Amino acid sequence: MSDLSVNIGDLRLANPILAASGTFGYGSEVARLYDVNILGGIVTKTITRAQRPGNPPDRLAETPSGILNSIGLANVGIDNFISDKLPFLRSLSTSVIVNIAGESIDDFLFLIDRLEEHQGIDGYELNLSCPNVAGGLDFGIDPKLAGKIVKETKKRSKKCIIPKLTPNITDIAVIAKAVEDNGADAISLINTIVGMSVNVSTKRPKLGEIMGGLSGPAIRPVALAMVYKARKAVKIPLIGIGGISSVNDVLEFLITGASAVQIGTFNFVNPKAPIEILKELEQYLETNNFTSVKELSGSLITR
Amino acid sequence: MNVSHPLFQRSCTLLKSTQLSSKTYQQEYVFPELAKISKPGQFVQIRVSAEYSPLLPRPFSILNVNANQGTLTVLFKIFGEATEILSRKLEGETVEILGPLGNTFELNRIKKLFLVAGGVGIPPIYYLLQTIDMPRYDISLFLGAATKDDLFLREEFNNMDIEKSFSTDDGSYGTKTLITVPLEDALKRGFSSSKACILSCGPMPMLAEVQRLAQKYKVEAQLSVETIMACGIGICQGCVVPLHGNTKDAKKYTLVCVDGPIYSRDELIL
Repeated sequence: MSDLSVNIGDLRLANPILAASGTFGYGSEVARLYDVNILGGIVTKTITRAQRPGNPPDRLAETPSGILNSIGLANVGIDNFISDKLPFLRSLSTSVIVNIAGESIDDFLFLIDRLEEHQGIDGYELNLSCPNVAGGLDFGIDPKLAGKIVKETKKRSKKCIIPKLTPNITDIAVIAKAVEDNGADAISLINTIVGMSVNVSTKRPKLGEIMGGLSGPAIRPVALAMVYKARKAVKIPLIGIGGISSVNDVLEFLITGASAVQIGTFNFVNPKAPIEILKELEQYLETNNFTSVKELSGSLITR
Repeated sequence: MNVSHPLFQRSCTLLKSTQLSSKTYQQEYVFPELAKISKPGQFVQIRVSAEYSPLLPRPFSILNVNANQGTLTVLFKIFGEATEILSRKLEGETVEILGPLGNTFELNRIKKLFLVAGGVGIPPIYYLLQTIDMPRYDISLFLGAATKDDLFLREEFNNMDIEKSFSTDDGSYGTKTLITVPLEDALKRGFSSSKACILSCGPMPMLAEVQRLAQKYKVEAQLSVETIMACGIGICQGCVVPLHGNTKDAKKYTLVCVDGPIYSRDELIL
């Protein structure tokens, strides 16, 4: 049997298939359907200092091969997360990465300090990139700010720190380099792409917030190009995200240079997608005589 | 409420597809696990295609289940691409179905039922009537739709031994009026409020009027709402409806897929 494990900094994942933040709730929702321990890891819904009700409806609109959303980081807040959601996550054997966001560096540090008091967390994903919240995107487009958040959070925790980058930027390599230089253990990319859709009969935007974030297969080529650019710019592991729906899509990201991937929007399409894809990946590695999935990572031939 | 009943996702074979009118279809699928446990008011998510268009599954009310035969029946009108694709499925083909989803109507201690259903809101009310012992209740049924064609299952309802009132927007069947007009007439005539309840499912403007009437005539109500939805299981946070501020935990929005689709009279801002 091929070795499916991958390393993200000091964190060893049982396999390279993770569930993406904002598409897997707090883990317990999907656990009604299958054993989520099969996954390489779970990235939680973004947690903020205060509870957030999220944006006014409509929050969703389907677009060609994709979804626009303006959820607005709806989440239970750090206190409720620790009391109500973390006990279940702690009971899991799979890796748990808590995604956090704030409006200031102080918010990020506050959240890390609170979470560090508790067991059951394997790493932190820093949401530097939510397009639906004021402030969220700024961290992701300013290399100095992004670097500083990584540097400060690294001082507060020995666990894996993984900034999640936005594609809504001129050159993702600049940000990738900045977070690497400041000690990031890995990089998740990409978050959603700013988008919009209009109902022509009512002349109203389809989203309550007018603009939102595009996800799903429509953005996969964009995500792949960003992984390619980041791979050339940094040495740390990359976690590819963007419209992954099949084992073929996973392979594209791994070959381009990702060490692991996250399944996002496809959890809405088929909640069992991550475990089905994992099974297909295992079969692919067996059939093609790979001893380890690591052999695939960065095997892109460009000449 | 927190839904924690078992949930199933599987590939389901289409046993029987019947075209009821130019745009309305009734389809029976094999889904034994669901048929055993689903309850009136619950819904399923159907992924009509393995392609990327349409990408998301779509929510469908459950019309009925047959626990012995292990089947699930849905009734739908063609609204867009997804329902168009589903309508063309042939017997023997399969689709991916997830369910049962959502909460159910609660009939504890209720004696007098005002059932108010509009258009695609008719299936859950039909399902309810299939599961209850009708003679135990005093039932007044109000069915409304845009046209006769959209007044689904009118013959089946006509054969039921209950008080009923039909209305259409264009007068092509029953009275030419909004469904809430005969409802108000009935509420005016009086009822025993402690044991009466309105159960309603239909478009948001209709539900808003039902809510207003229920408040005005001081009768309890259970309102089943429909929203845009992606996942159906509470992970996307997309299907929200605003809550009145005075609810227990001061949440601003409710997730229709897991907290609903059925809400008590005063919970929602409609």
